[in-house]
Amino acid sequence: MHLFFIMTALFLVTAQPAAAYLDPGTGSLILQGLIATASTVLVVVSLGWQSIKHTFSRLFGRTPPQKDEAKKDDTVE
Amino acid sequence: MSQPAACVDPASFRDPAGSVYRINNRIYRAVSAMGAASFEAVWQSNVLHAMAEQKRLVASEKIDIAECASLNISAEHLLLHPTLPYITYPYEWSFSALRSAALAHLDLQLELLKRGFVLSDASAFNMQLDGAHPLHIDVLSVMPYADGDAWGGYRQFLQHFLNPLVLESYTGVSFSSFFRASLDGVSSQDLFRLLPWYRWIRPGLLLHVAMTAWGEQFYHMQKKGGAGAAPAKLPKSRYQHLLQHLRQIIDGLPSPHHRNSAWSRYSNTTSYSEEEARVKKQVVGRFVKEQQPQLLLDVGCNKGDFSLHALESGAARVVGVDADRAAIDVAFQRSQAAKLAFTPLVLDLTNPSPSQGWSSTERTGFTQRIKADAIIVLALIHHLCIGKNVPLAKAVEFLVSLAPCGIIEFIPKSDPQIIELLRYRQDIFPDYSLENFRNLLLGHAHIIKETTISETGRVLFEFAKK
Repeated sequence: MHLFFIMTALFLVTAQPAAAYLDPGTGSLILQGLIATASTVLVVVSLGWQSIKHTFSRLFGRTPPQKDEAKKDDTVE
Repeated sequence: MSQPAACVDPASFRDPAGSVYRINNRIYRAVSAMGAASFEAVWQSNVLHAMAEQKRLVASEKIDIAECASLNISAEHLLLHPTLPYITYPYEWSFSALRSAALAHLDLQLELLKRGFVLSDASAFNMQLDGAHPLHIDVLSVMPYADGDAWGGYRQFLQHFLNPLVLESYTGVSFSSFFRASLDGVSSQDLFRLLPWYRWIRPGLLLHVAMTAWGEQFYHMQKKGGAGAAPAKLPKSRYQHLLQHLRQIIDGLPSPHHRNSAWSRYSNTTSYSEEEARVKKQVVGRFVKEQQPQLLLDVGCNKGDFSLHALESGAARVVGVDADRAAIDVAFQRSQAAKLAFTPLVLDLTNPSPSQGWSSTERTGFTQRIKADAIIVLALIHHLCIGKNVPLAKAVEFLVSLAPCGIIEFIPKSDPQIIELLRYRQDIFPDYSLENFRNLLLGHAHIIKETTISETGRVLFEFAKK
């Protein structure tokens, strides 16, 4: 009876699709939730920082020709 | 029904969902019973076609299951893929090539995730280069995503993509040797030991690499306790941020090649004049125009000047090899920028990629894998024979074995480059001469034409094997 509950609990908790053949390495799975949360913070902060930088450069005069040059560089792959 | 063993791709055995077969130069993928359910869900959603259309994933065509009998394959489903002209391995790629593959892998995952799918693994061997364009070739890696599923390929992604790139970017040490030796990239624990302490001040690195290294260490210590901590559920948005963060880190890595290597300065300071360079280009151009090779191998391609010229002259595809990583990196970026059918690879001719992996056949050696219709070997033979002490006879034999026809440039001892090479060395190369080269070449092939291209006595030999 105990075994049944343990197995069910493990099954519900591990949520790995059966088709995945790769050994994920439990060491990296344990912390993944934590890592992903921290990633979220870092990504959001960096996007915020980009938009602050963008706003400042618009306010404090990137003159139009310079801006076009920068754009041209971006489009060359 | 037993398959003829010779047809199964030697690297296709770890994923029980299916196998890849090469029959009559066509690439078939047999989906097994174990992989059928997941595959059917994937196929019905049309995501494979969408990703192939976006040139992120190799195209697949479903083949009538009745074909299995004639092909001697047993499968639940059968797919046909376009045959790639050649296969290359991550340990042959330069920094920019691996970075390009890493970004393409992440972008594919982000696109798939939007549509409710994920990749079951993150092996760099699943990325192939079409020219300089990275393409994911393992269609069975695509599987349905259930909200909350953890990213099972995370550790592999770090080892195959992030860690090697970080290693080379921050230490300048090439990831090639690690990849070639281990076939599993660079482990987080190894990277942790190799990076100097001040590199860890970047939060991104600290987060992924250090925490993974500690996590692996921690798990090893806790293992005896039994099940230990169970993996947490990963909400979709977190998963996406994880991928985006990795993308940001990889995109922002400084290039390891700021310092110009001696070789990348080479194409600017060669020992022949502009007129001589023009004649050389003319000879090569004419040769390529006549031969129209489907695949040309440019041996010692440096930054790819002659590879590009070969493409312009009518070569369908060019693979360039050179031992100089910095030069190959430049060549790769050139190919990428102009979207060329040119794949530059890092390769030491005196130690080309060997056959290795499981059964020493999983990963094929370079000379078996790349079969060129023509080769050009320009400004190289003296580096092999004088620089690397390879006897002229062996060098000629090896070079001629690479393709049925080609051009080899012979550099005589009177050339300033060889004078430089021998400046602090004893001249122990009595056999290294034009006459001897000519005789050795005649032993393996017909000499179609000889063209002297410089005052120093450099000669281009066009050969065709008997």
